[in-house]
Amino acid sequence: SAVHKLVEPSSAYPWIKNRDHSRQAEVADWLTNEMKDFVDYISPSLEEIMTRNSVINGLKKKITSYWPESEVHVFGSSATDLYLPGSDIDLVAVSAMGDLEQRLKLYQLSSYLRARKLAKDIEVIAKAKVPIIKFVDPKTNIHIDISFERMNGIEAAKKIRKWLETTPGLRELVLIIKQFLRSRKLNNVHVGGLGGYATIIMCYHFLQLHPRLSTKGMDAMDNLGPLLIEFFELYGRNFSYDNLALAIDAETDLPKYLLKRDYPELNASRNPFSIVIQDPSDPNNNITRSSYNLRDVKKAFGGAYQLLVEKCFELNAASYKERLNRLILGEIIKYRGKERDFNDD
Amino acid sequence: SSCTNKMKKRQYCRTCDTFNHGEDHCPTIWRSYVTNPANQTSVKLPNIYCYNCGASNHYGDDCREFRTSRVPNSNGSAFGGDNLPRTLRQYYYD
Ligand SMILES: [Zn+2]
Ligand SMILES: [Zn+2]
Repeated sequence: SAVHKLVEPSSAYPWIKNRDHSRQAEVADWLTNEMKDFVDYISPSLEEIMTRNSVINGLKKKITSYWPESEVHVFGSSATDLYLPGSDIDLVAVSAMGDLEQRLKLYQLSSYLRARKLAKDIEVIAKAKVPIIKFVDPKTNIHIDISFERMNGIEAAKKIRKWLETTPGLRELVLIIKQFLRSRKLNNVHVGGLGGYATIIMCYHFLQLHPRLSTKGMDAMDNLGPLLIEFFELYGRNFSYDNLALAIDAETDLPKYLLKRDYPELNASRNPFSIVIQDPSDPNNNITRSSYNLRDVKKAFGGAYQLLVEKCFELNAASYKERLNRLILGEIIKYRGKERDFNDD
Repeated sequence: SSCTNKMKKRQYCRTCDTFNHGEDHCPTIWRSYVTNPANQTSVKLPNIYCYNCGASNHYGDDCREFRTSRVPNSNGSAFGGDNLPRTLRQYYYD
């Protein structure tokens, strides 16, 4: 039947190739191991890292030579190593004058990039709230976004790198939730989905407040399986989106909840069923103000909880023979794309 | 459906001493942690917040306020005092 997912070669579950965890005594450990395999599988190879770095460094050099007064920085997932295969590279150009966001400058830079064959499929989006130049790197086909005169992305990347150091399991959980959202098209803020920064803060919040982790009662890396299900349990079933906003204390860097009614400036939509995450660098800014499709996000999280728990019950009751070639994480995540090598280093 | 109702009434879990679920649907099947020895756990209560009312002295499972999430929580979640290491539970419930 359809629920019995067997793994075929060239399947949508390439990360489990040659790896079988069905003999784990605990289904929780099975899921933990499957998550580690998935993260190994989607983590960039040394070659991919070098390719991305050379694209980044090449563009930095070219842009600063065109605008000698400017500095170019990477932010977003490329600056925190939390990118999935095929993710965009986000760059920002800043200057002492602060005038790079002018329409004319945007068009000048885009002509320069086109003339030097540094970009194809160029789009200048000058009228948006955050004006950007979008293009594709002709050699690698990696998508690039350049924004201008904004420091907030650089600051966020700095915070995220610190959280990754202090929070074991954060990288693994974020990559899996990102892929989960991406495969359901719920990761796009332009259509109400959850952005990368919001996803990271939700994961960081959850891990830092977890009663077993905050007390050193267990290590996250040994317990990724139960933690994944509990992430879905919290944000798909229990969390009061109506009452609460997620926030990070500016002094301690620890998570806290705020009462939405005390912070009306964060919830301009006034829809009680909305997700609010206070910007760690700007207390008056809600980083999820575009994520209006909370209904589908919460439904997806709640559904993932249900699917994973049911699969655990089913496989826990199954014989070793019945468990062979079965998946738990595969219940909620698929990966389609060109075949990748495993990264174990 | 009357048949499944009867089944539900008869379910009982010895591990949790509850009629909320049967043994084959016990949350401990998946919520089974690899824990650290007691001497490695911290000796004071951690940063605590309630997922339901936002208070910082209890977890959401132990909240007395009206539950605003539209999903029931009959079996408990990760965020309850019972999920603290044994040595810390006495301070929490004090
Ligand atoms: Zn039970
Ligand atoms: Zn409460």
